[in-house]
Amino acid sequence: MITLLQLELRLLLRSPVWWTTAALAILLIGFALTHGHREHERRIDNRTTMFVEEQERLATMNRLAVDMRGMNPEAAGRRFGFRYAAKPELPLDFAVTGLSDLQSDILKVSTDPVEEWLQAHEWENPHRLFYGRFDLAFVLTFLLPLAVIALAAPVLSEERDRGILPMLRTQGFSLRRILVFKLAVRYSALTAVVLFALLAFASLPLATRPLPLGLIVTDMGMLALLSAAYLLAWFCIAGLVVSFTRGSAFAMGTLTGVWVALLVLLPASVNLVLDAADSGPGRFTYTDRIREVTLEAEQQAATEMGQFYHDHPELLGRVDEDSIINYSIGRTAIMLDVEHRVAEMAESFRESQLQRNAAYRRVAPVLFPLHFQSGLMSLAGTGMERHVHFLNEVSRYHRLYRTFFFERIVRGDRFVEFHRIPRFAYREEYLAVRWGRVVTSGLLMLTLPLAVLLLRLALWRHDSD
Amino acid sequence: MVPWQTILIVARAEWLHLRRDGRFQTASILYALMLAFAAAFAWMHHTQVEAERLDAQTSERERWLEQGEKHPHAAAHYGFYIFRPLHPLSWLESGTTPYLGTAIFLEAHRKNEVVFRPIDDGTGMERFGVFNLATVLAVLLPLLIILVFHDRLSTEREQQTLPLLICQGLTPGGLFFGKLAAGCLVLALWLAAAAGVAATVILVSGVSLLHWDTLARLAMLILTYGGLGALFLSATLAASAWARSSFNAVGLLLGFWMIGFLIAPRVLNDHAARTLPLPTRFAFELAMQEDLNDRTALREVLTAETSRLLELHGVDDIADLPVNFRAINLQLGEEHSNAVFDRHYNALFDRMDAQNNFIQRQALAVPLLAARAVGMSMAGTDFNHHRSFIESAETYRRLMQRILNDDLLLNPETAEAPYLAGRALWEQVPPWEFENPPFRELRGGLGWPLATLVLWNLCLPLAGWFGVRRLFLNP
Repeated sequence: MITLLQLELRLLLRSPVWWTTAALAILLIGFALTHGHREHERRIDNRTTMFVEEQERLATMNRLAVDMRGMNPEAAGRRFGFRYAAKPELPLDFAVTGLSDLQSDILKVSTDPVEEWLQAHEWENPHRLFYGRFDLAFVLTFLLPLAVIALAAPVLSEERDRGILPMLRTQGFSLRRILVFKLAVRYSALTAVVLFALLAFASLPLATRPLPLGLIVTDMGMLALLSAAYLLAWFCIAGLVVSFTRGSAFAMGTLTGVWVALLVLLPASVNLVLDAADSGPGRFTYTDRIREVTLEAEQQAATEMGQFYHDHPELLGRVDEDSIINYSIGRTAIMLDVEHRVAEMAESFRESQLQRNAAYRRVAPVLFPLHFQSGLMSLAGTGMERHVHFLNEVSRYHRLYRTFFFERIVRGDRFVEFHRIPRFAYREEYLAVRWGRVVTSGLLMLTLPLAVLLLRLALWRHDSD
Repeated sequence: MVPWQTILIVARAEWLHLRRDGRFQTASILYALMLAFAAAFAWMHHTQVEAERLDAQTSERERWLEQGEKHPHAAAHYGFYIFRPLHPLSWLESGTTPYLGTAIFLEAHRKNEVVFRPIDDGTGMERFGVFNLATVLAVLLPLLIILVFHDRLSTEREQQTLPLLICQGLTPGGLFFGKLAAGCLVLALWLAAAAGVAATVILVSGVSLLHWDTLARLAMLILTYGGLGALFLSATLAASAWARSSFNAVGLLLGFWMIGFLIAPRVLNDHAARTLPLPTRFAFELAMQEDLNDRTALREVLTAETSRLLELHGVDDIADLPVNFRAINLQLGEEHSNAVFDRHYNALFDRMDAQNNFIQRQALAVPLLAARAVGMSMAGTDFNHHRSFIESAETYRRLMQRILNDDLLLNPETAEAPYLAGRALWEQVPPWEFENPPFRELRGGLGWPLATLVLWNLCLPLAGWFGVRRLFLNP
């Protein structure tokens, strides 16, 4: 074993491929993390500016309201008293863009229906969204497997070309053992380099984050484990391919084919099939139905209001305190009625989306890079699950905010309490839930490649060269 | 023997060899399957979405016409949605479509944003890329070319057949351009298959190919990806000539492909976003709201208009005017906010355009970006087409407001007797129709990407030729 180790280390250290791969891995991880940190700082600056504006606006409105001896709470809740609800930071959100360039992590909450403010995304060039960002997730998911291919493809064929293989065989090493040993050494070397780069380049940005040290250390540990597991999965695939092929060029070609299939063609194809097979209502139908329902509710409200004024002609055309209160109550009631009717529709649309996601999960075990991506997003909090949690929290806050104003609208108060408008308080998911998702993704990612390689090794009878 | 005869002989021999090559056969089968798969499913999805959109648009129009009697300004707020139609060629290259909104609500006073991006309803898997004909041509085709041609010159040296060829009087140009010609024939066949599939689907979907614009766009799209393929073919043969072994040639070419396909687009887009940053939504909205709230100029125009009307009609009070002054007030308010919207949104969109132009200029080293830019433009799925849609929707919104306000202007009313309009007025608002920018208007923006492709296609064959000359000196 010592002989094999010495031989492998000597081969690796003399290989220009190894040095190039290691240097590129460090460079790319460093660039991705530094770049991600800069983007993150810009986001935080924007967030700070928004909260300063909120403070100043509420203070100004409070003074104005006192001067005016109160204002209409309906207008205050809709136009002047809105507050921002921000998704709190997690240690690695700067490293993994995930879906954060598509989702708003800060929302403007008012008494208006959710749909009014949920669609307000940050400005972004659609071409940039199309190509994606150069972040750590991209480097780890797409580029690191290429390093694995470069390092693992020549395994065995290198020894064959140099004529060392028969010598090793005479010392009692089986091909299986040589393959596993060589891959293990290369895997350890590459993993060490990647972990070193992660630690070196993430330390500085993490040191500036106002987050508990324990959380940072644990999340970094999880990132290290997840990355190591992903590399292991790719080394398993590489081992499998190398065990079947005899030339390094062929192994490289096959592995590149696997890479293209797993990271480009299959996810895109599955997505295309799901899109084409999706029989649920699309956004156009959804919008059409929502509009129908909304107009029905408004029509009904208008008829009832007309009947009311028909019964009380003395109130028609009056612009006084009571009529404004009545108008505010009427408007709020219509809004709530519309929302109530729309909720059913929205639920059926969400149901159709869930079915799509379930279909995707059924095919996903084969596509293990997707699990890695999903694990990274869960860890960084930039995936779908944490965003859904954030939206639920915002919905909870939205109800609280509305209750605060609706009570005053119904009571007919003159509003002067801008300083008392409830603030958004985010209840973070339990750590175990987030980490559970990461661990599940890691296990799902590793199971299939590892099982396939082990099976191949167990059944490998062809032991001659 | 004249050079072209040598080229022809080598090309014929190469073609014979390719036909017997298992890799070529496998690549062709794989390519054909991918084409058929991409075309079938992308078209299915396209027709499904278009049918849904047409239904929704028709319902909106009906609702508008059937809204009953009401005040024109109430109708202006009643408004309606318009939905972005997909270009007949968008199924070939979905481009930025999933990242852009599909519906916009038109109403008085407000320029609403385009909402409901398809990506928001997705599974998250879309970030790994979408699959369509352009994916096959831009991503898969270069890989197949590398697979089939990476050893076409290096094996001549590895198998020691080069000295024999030199003895027979073959020139470096004859060998290289002969192999290139055979490669071009393969490429032409593959592209013809793609064009055939695209044309068949378009014909089946009922779009006339005799329509000059569609035909020109389709031809340009295929030619552009053909140019990209030719570039990869030259690069592959050049690498095969220069590299010390087939293994090195594959490594070099895959590196070139990965940089072009994966790394450069992200790096350049990030670089553009840093160099020419967009305003944050918060800053944008704040600045626009400030301008909307600043009504000094509006008040001045309103005062002048009031004086003019009072003088024209010889009355002292607005209430005595034979026209509805509220309509004038509303229309001037619209014009004030329109000017603000134009200023802010144009600045934002111009900045996005500047980013895209910046990327195209930086992308001289990345021909894939150039090809994709042309492809998206031809398929109507780039940002410029989306901007045209937004501008068309806004022009229509303004027309709608103008029609409603003009009608109100001619119908004075009082608080006791408000004016109510009916279907006759709603019908005066024409149905919305969107025309994509014609092909001739797109050409202007494509100069740089096309020049990039041409430049690469001129330089790489020269590099290959020099590589073969070097091989001849040291066979």
